[in-house]
Amino acid sequence: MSVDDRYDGIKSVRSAVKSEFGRVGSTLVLFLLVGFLYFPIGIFLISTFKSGAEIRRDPMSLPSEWQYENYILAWTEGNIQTYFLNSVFVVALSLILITVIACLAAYAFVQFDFRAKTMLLIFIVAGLMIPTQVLIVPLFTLMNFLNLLNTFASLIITYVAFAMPFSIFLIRQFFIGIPDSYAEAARLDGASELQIFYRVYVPLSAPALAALAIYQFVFLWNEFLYVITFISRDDTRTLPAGLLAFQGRYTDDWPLLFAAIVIAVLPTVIFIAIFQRYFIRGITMGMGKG
Amino acid sequence: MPNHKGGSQWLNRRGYLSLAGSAGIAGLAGCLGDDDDTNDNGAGMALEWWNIWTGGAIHDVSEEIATAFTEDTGIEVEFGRFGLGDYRPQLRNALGTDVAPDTFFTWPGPDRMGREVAADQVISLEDRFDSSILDNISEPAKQRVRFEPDDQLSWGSEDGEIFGIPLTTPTIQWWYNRDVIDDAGIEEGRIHHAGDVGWDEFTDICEQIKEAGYTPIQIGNTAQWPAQLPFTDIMAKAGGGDLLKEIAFGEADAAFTDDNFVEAVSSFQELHEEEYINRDINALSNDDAISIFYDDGAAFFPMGSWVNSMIEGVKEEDEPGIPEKIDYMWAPFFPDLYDEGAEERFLMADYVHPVSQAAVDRGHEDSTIELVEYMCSEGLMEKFLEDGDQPISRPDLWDNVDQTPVHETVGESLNQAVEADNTYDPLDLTLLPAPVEVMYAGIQELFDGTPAEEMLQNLQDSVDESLEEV
Amino acid sequence: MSIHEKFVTLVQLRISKILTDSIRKKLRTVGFVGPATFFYIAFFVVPTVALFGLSLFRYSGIGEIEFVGLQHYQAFFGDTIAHRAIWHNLQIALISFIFNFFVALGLAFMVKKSYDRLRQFFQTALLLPMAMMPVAVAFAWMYLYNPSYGFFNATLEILPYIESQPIWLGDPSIALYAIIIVGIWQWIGFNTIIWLAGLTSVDESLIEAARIDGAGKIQTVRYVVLPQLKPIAIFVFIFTFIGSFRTFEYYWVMTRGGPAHATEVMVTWIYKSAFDQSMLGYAAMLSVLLFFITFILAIVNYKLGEKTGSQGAKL
Repeated sequence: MSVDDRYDGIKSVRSAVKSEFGRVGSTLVLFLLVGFLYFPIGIFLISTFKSGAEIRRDPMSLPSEWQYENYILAWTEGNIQTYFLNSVFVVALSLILITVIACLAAYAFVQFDFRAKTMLLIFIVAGLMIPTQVLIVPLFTLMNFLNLLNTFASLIITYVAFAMPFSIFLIRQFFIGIPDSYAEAARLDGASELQIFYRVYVPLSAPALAALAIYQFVFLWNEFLYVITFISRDDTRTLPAGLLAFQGRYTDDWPLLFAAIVIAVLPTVIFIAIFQRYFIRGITMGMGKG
Repeated sequence: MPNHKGGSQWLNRRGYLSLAGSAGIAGLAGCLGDDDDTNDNGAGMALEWWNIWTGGAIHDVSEEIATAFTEDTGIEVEFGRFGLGDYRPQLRNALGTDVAPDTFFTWPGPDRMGREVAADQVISLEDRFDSSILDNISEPAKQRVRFEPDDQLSWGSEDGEIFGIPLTTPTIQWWYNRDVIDDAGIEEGRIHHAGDVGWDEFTDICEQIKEAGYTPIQIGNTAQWPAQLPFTDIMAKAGGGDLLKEIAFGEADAAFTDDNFVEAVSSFQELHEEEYINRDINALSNDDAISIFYDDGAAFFPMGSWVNSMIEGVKEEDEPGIPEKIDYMWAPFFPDLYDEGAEERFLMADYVHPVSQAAVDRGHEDSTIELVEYMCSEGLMEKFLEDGDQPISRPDLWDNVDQTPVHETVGESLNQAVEADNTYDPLDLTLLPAPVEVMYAGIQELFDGTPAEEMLQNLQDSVDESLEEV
Repeated sequence: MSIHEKFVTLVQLRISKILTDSIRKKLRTVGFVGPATFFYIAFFVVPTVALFGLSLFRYSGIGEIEFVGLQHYQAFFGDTIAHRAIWHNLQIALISFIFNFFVALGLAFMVKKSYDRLRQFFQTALLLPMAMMPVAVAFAWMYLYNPSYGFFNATLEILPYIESQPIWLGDPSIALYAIIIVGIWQWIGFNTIIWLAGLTSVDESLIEAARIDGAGKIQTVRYVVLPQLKPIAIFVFIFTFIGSFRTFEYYWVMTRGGPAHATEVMVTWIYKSAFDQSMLGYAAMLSVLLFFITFILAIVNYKLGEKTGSQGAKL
């Protein structure tokens, strides 16, 4: 063993120690950060089991009596049930429509030849440049004109329209990656375009579709501006606007509002926790990476 | 591009497309259909009644009114409900559209009902409303809902027509917590229902309270209107209620920038600087403020006579309320600035219910008027007083109800106001829309050190500007 | 079937065969692209065009609509609240950028460096806040910021030597920053994950090659790792900036733009102008401005992307 080799050996041990040190340090910092991120949530979760008076008088203590009924009260009396089911309906129908419509279009953009194809594609994807918030005034006027205010349809139509540019862009990106030979082979077997579409392209791009659906789910579930603008009736409100109305009604009843908040937040959190891999993949795909 | 084969698959494809298409359209139509059931605007269908979503007795009474009305007449009533903060934008959104309510809770004044009158969104009730009921509504209440058609600035005009029925006529005063007052060693008899407490005397009281370890005045101003109430007091006590209205309508030689107003507003600001008003006024909600006030954290709480329903929300059932623990004085006045200030009282009309043009368009006119008449009828007004503790606008009915101490206190304040030399309304009901926003923001700025001159100058500029546009 | 009928049927079949081939293709294309195009044009493009038109009119939502030309655009110059709103949006963007860009990148390095078994845990933990409904998050933080019984002030009261009791959402000088923190709280984890996704896709062989060439650690990061992260960097940049200009929920729920417009942002001001003041035309003008601001940002993004393309080719 030469001196150089020994030196290298020491160096690598030293760097291993150093890197282990860095590893421990990084982990500690991360634990601190996660603690920082979740501490408010913890405080908040505990508060959901307190009584209103207790929240005011002892903000820092544990509940003297755990009030589980806050959740039941919020769900039943506070109308959260209605808001929740409305949200489920609106989001589910929007998601189905978005996925089906965007997939069909993306397929055509990849597999068909038609006039002005590229122009149409650019035209649609250009929609990514428009922040949807700026359309609140004209869309309100339009929905009023169409007599659609206060209907689920107003929200669903808007959500579907808003989702088109990104969804078509993303799915097309994925469809392009599927070799043409698959489609051609299927055609030789006598498969129709539609069959190719849902037997070949859809199954092959399931991960991308899942990513898209999860992304849209989180976005739609949380959407607030258009709900408060289009919906004024309590029985048509979805959760975000419902929470606002709820707060207006139970202004001095924090625990009920807190319980309602936890109920409202849970679905997306659970979804992301389960499907985070798809979600991250979808996002990186959207950036043209991954 | 691949070469596409046709033939027999065409049917499949077409079948699929029509399936997909009809599924999508059926889905949309489905939710349209869903709503048509609940959102029917046709004649003979349910009346739409919008209200703010306050907790407690007022809300319950409104529900009872609706239920009783349906039982009596067979006409269904649907409630639209909103938190106070969202009510105005939502209402304004809806009024121009086909989802406009038939009747709704609103406030008087050019910024509220005036806008609806000017835009023909509500109809005149003159000659349409049951005159035997109308005659019994108190004069101050009626005066506050008179407008000349299409004219936002004709509010309160003698020649005006009645555009809505106010169910209540609250007064606004400075409620005090007797336990705190006693503990700070202040002689309660001096301030009890008094209107002649001068500013210097009042600041002495505040100093005494502060030294005793309490917050002298508690205000929760996140919603922007609460601090506007004492602000109105201060302005009115500096120049008189009539003058405020004249300046707001551009009919006076005076302006909000005049010395008397600047001095009064500076004094108001000093209350905060001296920590006589809670430091966190801009971050505290009204609900938090009442809870601190009731729990002996503060001595004074400027609020309308609807305060009892707020107190009900924070106290336990067997705990004392009005007047055992909480009573009122009128806002202090400025003897040097405006001597007659001691004789003016803060009064407003509230719970105004108009009939919308939309109700007429959809053939609901008669049934909606019937509903509003029903609200003003003997039995229900009494209920409003009895269960909701509201200062109802029908003086003839007060004696029909077994008066609780709360009613007596609220009733006395109303009598004091009606018998006073003059009354004034909240400034956010007196000003035009844009100046109201400027005032709201300006009051918050006052508590952040913006000089009174600057704040009042902005307000006056906005008044001038908005008058040009009307 | 008579001969005549047979003949007619045959002719019909023949004609239809000729027609169908081309029409069919067209119909098929319409069937696939039509729904998407319809929704996009009717409810995205038309409103966008209408937005520009509406900004030239005075319209209160009901009654008359009056052409005022560029009057609203002129009025913008005197609208100090709108100016403040844009300035607030910029501050939000810059402060969030520091966290989403630099801090999150540092955190991503740390996650990569930490133990394999813990990585998944950190990823999940970091990602979850962004899934939460902003309205709900805003309410929760409103409670934490409450001056009399919120968590922060209660903690400060217990801590020794600290006398200060900030009024987080009520003090115009700090309210904006108090809300910016909420946004950072919700999104920093997401950005860390994005950076992490970039870091894991960095080509290890290039790092190895750089090491063999004798590059130091910092040099490797500077010249090998970072260039490969450029697409991510652009994403984070554009995501943060455009997101900051679109922000609405926190500001509407927590302060409604107050106190005294200290937390007014573009979208709250648009919403107030449209639905509180019934000035739909003016609100449309503000929306057009917001549109152009994000448009410029998107162009910047595109330009940055172009540069990356050429650099990526060099690598």
